[in-house]
Amino acid sequence: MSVQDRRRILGPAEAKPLRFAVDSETSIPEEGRTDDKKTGKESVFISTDLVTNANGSSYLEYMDGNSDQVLVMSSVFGPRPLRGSFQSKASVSIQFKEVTLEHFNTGEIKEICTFLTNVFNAVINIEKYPKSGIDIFIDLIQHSNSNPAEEENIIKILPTCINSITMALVDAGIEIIDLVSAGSVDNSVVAFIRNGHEIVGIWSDDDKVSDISRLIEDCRVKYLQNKQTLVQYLR
Amino acid sequence: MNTNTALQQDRHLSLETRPCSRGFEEFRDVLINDGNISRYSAKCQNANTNNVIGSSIVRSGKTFVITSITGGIVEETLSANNEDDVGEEELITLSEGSNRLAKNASVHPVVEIQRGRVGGPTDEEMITSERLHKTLLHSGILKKTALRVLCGVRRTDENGKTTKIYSDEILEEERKISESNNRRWSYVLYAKIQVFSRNGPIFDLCWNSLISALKSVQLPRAFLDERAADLKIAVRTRGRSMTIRETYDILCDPEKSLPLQLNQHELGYGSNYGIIDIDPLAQLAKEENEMDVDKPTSVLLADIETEAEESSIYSKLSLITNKDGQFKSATIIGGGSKITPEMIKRCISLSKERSKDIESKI
Amino acid sequence: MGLSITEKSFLFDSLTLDPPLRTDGRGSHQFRPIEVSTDFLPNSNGSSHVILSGGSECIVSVKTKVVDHTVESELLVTDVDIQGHRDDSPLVTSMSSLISKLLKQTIDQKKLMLTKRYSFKLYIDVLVLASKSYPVSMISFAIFSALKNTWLPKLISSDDDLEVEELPTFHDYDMVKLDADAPLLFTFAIVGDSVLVDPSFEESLVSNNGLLITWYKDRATSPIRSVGLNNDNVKGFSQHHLEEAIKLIHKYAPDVERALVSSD
Repeated sequence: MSVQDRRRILGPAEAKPLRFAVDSETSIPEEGRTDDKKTGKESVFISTDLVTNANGSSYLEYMDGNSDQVLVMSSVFGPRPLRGSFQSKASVSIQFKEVTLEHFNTGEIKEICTFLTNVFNAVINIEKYPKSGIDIFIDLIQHSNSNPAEEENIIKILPTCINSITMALVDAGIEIIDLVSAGSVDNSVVAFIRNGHEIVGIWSDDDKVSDISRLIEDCRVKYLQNKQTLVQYLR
Repeated sequence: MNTNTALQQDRHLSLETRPCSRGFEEFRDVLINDGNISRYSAKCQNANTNNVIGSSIVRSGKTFVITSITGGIVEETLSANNEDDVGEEELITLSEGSNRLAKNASVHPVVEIQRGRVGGPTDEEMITSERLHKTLLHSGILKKTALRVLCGVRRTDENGKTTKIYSDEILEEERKISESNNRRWSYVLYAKIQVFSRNGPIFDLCWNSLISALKSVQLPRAFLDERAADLKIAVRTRGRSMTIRETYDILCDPEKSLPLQLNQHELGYGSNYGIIDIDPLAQLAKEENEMDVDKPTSVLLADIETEAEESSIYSKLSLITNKDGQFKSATIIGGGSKITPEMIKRCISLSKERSKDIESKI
Repeated sequence: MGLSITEKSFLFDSLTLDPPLRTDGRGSHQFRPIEVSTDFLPNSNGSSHVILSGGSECIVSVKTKVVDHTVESELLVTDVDIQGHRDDSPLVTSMSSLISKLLKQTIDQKKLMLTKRYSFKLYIDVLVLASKSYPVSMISFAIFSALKNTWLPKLISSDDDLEVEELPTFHDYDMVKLDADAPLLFTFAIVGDSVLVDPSFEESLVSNNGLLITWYKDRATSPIRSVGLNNDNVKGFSQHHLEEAIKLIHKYAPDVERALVSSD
């Protein structure tokens, strides 16, 4: 089914996107990068109220020890009236979009959205907002990966997305039962509330995982750090 | 807009302030940078996976526009008897006079305005994309020749070491090798323009963002694999079966790139203006002697912002000009308030100033 | 079709009893009866038909084609279609993305290689005819039994064609069984403090959260996901729920796998 999109200016159909050659002998380590690696410090920059026409928004810049960056912006629209039949609880929707690069395919994006919706269904006090819709939009501004061998990985951006949505919800003044934050270890992300006593989401793609309790414990440590950062910002 | 806010605005205006607390002819502050998005940005960390070749972030007040430019390569359809390239060039020069547009190129913009809804593009998004495309095409900023791919050849020698040869970098005797390839490619540029916190007309913002992104564009050097290229020289294989594929895979050099050539003297920047009548009834009483009887009650506002202004102003001007006042586009919509020649003159001089200001910031 | 608030509350209360009282009288570790038939599509290389009690039904067909793997590196194509859901609905896209990613990780593509240039390319088409509960478990069971019963043509030409251009030729009748291990996906519902395997539609409606755990090569492995089985009753869960689910898997998954293998 090839229907021409007449609503966007798409350019010639036979054009092929630029493909960059993979050079076997490209020198990967740059001087600046190795220096950063040594410090190995994670840093987060948080700002809220960036998007003025949303009810709440947040912008997070996360820099990990290898100077990989994740820049995420979240905006919350709502609670706003829902059309249609009566709903006794708010309906939460989460949309994910990549602003600049397009690395993930639509299936993966839908997976992230469904996962995040489930996490935030558990956290937002949806009983408080009957007949309302809360629409959350995540814009991934940038996601850089200094390790070229690794593929673009959802796991790397998920904790930042979760933290960013939490901040946006706080900024929008929407009732949540606790600050949700997530920690990740290798290829697994676990989202917690209540000081790590309750899990609201788990996403593990790590096929080497042998001890699930161990994994959760490791993620909990990271969660507590992340949550501390959020609390510090809000204070 | 209800009458209450309209009245409020009129009152504001008669006190010479605007809802956004700017002066009548005051613009929003503009911040422009490349956002470190492109693979050629100075601090780019992900050059190996990044395919954005030019970018910009323009912030004007609370509104910000993120533009990222990506590229593609399209094979040009050439006439069948294209042995002599010189003849072709001559033909093009001949037809130049009659068809000026044929030389110009444009980008393919997709504008998205964040509005908290999902679904297809809105009217405003479609109109803005179309206008950006057309304005750039007619402005002559981007020429077709600037998008031509100067294709190189990648060579693999006996030891598996690869070298790339570009026609403009090589010695004379080697040049004929790359010229034997009689196909021609062009770059195609796509612009993804995302508008956040929309708070007024966006065309001029998008235009400025697009231009500053275009200024940062680096076109990667492209090459064909020698094995795939249709060359009449011995192909060095290493005991492997080499199939020459039907499709020519044109690849980009991950390191070498050339800046996109823009027509510098054609570059212009956008600004917008609105003209609004102040309802005499809403005017707060002034001293009788200060009041000039013939003084028109309409005022010129630069850089329309806020919903209040946008919905009450019907007479609008949108100009794209460079600092010398050379126009690339001018749209004047008269609706409601009378646009006097004096006002247009004023707009022109303001837009020159604005253009100078923006240019200094890129 | 939903449940009224009273029905939900009744169901929730009975499911949170110790031991939980499920509507169909199952134990918390017990599956719904599964009916599997294989090889029923004559023009597919492998096929299976899975019926769950309660009216859920799923068909999987595996077809193959010979491709030049130096040109086409993608040797597995999975397509999921769920009746009553649009192709671009979140359920269908996320499920098909999950399953195709998982199969790419688990099926050894080297086993599909015929010669040094040619490979079999597998097309796995999943059609969920009817489903009320979260269908991923059923889909994985169907894919598992379809792949276990996939027969590919037997190669009779040489398997080294680097030096000599030769198209692979196959035996007229003989087929070779595909040696592929597909993962099994298990869904758990967390209702209050109970962890229930293979939740039915009604149980999904009142569950507080859901878990998806993969069983592959005799151990519980990734992907492990929390999945929303409904939208309005979601709550967090604790670590011991997850450990409980994994314990159940280790105990009962081998039996399930054995049952599916013996179904042909």
